[in-house]
Amino acid sequence: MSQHHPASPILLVRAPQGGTRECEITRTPLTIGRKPGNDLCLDDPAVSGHHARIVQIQEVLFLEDLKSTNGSFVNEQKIDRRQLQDADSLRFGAHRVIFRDKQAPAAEPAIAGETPVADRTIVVSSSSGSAPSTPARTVGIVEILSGKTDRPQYSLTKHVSLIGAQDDAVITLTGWFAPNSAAVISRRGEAYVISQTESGKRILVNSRPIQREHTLRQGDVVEVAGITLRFVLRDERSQAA
Amino acid sequence: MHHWHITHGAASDIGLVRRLNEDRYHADTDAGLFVVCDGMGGHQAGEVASSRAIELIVQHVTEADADPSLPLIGMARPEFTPATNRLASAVRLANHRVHEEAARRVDYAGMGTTVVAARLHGGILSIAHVGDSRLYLIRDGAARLLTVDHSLVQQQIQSGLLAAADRARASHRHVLTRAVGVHPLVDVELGECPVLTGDIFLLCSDGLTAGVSADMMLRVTLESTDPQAIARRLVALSNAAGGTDNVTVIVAQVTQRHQGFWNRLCSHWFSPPV
Repeated sequence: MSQHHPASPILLVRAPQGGTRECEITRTPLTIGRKPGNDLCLDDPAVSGHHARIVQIQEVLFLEDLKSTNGSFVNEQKIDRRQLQDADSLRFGAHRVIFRDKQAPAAEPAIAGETPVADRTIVVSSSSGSAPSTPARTVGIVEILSGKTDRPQYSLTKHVSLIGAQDDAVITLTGWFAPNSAAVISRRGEAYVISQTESGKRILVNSRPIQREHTLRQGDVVEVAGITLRFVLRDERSQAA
Repeated sequence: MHHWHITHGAASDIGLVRRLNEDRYHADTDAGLFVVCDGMGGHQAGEVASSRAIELIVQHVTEADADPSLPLIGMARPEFTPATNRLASAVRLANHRVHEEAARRVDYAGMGTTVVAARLHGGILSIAHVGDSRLYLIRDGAARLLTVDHSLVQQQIQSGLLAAADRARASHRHVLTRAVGVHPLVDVELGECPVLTGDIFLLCSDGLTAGVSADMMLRVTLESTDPQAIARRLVALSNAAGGTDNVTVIVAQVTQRHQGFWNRLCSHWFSPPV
């Protein structure tokens, strides 16, 4: 797919003091180190004079550490020799470098007769790119202090948890005149937010009425539709350990 | 069942530089379904990818409305509602079909598209997205981005390699890490947001965000009550900022349908005891 554009892979170099520069890997071996004369020169006391190099074996690029004092890292793992994959994050001393394999993207060749547009969209396949977003570290727990519900305690594992009498409610109200939907608790990043529903039921958090929505804090006591509940955040990592 | 009323406006423009508009959108207030796709690929392939994706997503959702037993494409995720899982299924189906078509025809090779799709169902907005088209929520005088771009720039910002302020200037800002149709399988990112009356949802292609800041979007949105006027104004601002890309925007405003006093009284007193 990429025979039309033998574009070189690139290194995106981020200096510790800020600023990003690009270094094209046009030939190998490509040497990396502090001393001038390296193909990629890193002005960094934590980088050895001749620190590492990138070599090519057939179509594949490898990073080799040259017995440097402080080591070479790929995705924060110390390596002697490691095959490079698109979007790998390399580190030498305080310098961070991203490896971009230009072979991977399905970039289309410039089309004859069409003005070449520099900012055409392309897609790279990167393992880190398709990794699912980091799993939430905390989970909200609801303890029912008073009122009629189907259970005494609930784990808020769903993105949106409804409090009400209707079938798909997470916190199911079982009282006779319980509204179908009284309130919803939803995740927003690591936080949980309680909000009013179309029923317009009054919601009290720590005895004070809220308008529209309110971010819940550890230990908050919520009163709605005849039930009282306490909200607790639990650390999943301590549970797993 | 219909407690919520949606009004919407939408606009799409080729911009000032491109020769083709590869953006496509779909807006259906009755079904509560809104989709923006930004296609890419040589010749007309980008348009093909974005048009197909829209057709397939709408078709799958419509079929599932008629027959809820329609099989889901891909694994259902228990932390999301059936409506959100259905939307994810539709995007996966689009990915599969667009990828197949790209593999069959040489001139379509490598075509793909971004997708941002939103559906309002039972007071919860389901969101599915792949790529760098976005969804903003404008609520209580603030704009909040509900999607995270699948782009190299975003990845670098998250890993601390790039300052957020340099986003617009980065030379690789058009490099996506996910798209629909490029690979046989796609990881669709999902989200859910309970709606409140007065919420405005804004779906857009990256052409809008390239030239118009979130602050500006917010200001324009608050200046008018007509979603169509807001959409047109945003497209005009994008072109005024250079119009370097196709631009598409859907503005959907959700309001609570006021039940009559009598209805409320009846539903309050005569709801069936459980």
